[in-house]
Amino acid sequence: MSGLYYLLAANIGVWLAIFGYLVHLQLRCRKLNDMVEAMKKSSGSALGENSRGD
Amino acid sequence: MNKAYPRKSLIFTATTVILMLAAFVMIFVYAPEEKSMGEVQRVFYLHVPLAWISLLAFLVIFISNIMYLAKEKLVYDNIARASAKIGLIFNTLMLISGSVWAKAVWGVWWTWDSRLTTSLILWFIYISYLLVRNAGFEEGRGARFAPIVGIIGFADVPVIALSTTLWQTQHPSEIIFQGGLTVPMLVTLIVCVVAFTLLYALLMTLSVAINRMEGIIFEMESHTDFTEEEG
Repeated sequence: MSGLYYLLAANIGVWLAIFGYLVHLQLRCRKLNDMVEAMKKSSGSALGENSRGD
Repeated sequence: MNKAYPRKSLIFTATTVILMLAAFVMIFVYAPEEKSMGEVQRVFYLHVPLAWISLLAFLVIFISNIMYLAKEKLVYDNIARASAKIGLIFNTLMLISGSVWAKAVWGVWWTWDSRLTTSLILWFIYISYLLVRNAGFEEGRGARFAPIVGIIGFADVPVIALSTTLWQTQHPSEIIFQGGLTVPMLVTLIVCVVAFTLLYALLMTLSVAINRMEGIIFEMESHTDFTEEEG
C-alpha cells in the first residue's frame, strides 16, 4: 500500500509541475505578445521585423 | 492570435495535452501491475520519458551551441537557452521521481550509484550553463561563453547513457532493450515517451517565442532610450 502513496506523490508532483510550467509559458507568451503589439502600434515602426533572434 | 503564437499552435497544443492525458490514463489503467515491485513500478512510465527529455534537451543545447559558434545567429542562442530551462525542469523531475521510486524499492532516497551520480552532475551542468548564459556583466557576453559549458558539458550525456554498462550499479539496466517488458507495458512506455517528446517540442516553441519577443522589446526600448537621449 505504501508503494501506492509513493506512486501518487511522484505523479501529482510531476504532472502539476509540467502543466504549471506549460500554463506559465502560455500566459507569458501572450503577455509579451500584447506588449510587442502595443509597442509597435505606439512607435509606428517595424523594428520587430529586424529584431535580434530573427 | 498572431505571428508569435499562431492559431495552428492551438492544434499542436491540443494534440499534446490529449496525448499527455492518454498517457496518464494508460499509466494507471492500461499498464499491468508489476509483480515484484507492485504499484510503485508505475513511476517508471514517468521517470524514463523525463530522463529521455533531459538528455535530448542537452543534445539540442550542444547542436545549437555549435551552430551559434559557427554562424553567430542569435536564434541558435535562443534555442539553446530555451532548451536549457526546459531540460533543467525535466532533469529535476527525473531526479525527484527516481528518488521517490528508490525510497519505495531500495529503502533510501539517494545512493551514490553511477547512474544517479552522473545524472546529478548533468543537473549541475544545466545550472552552470544557465548561470553563465544569464551572467549580465556585458551584453552578449553570456551568449559567447555559455557554449563552452554547453559543448564540454555534453560529454556527460553519453556517460549517463552508458553508466549502467560501464560500472557496477544498483540502477536497473535497460530492460526495454532486453525484452523485459510485456506488450501493454511497452505500449504504455512508448505512448509516454511520444507524449513527453511532443510536450518538449511545445514548451520549446513557446520558450523560443518568449526569448524572441524579449529580444524585440529590449531592442525597441533601447531604440526609444537612444532617440530620447539624442532629442
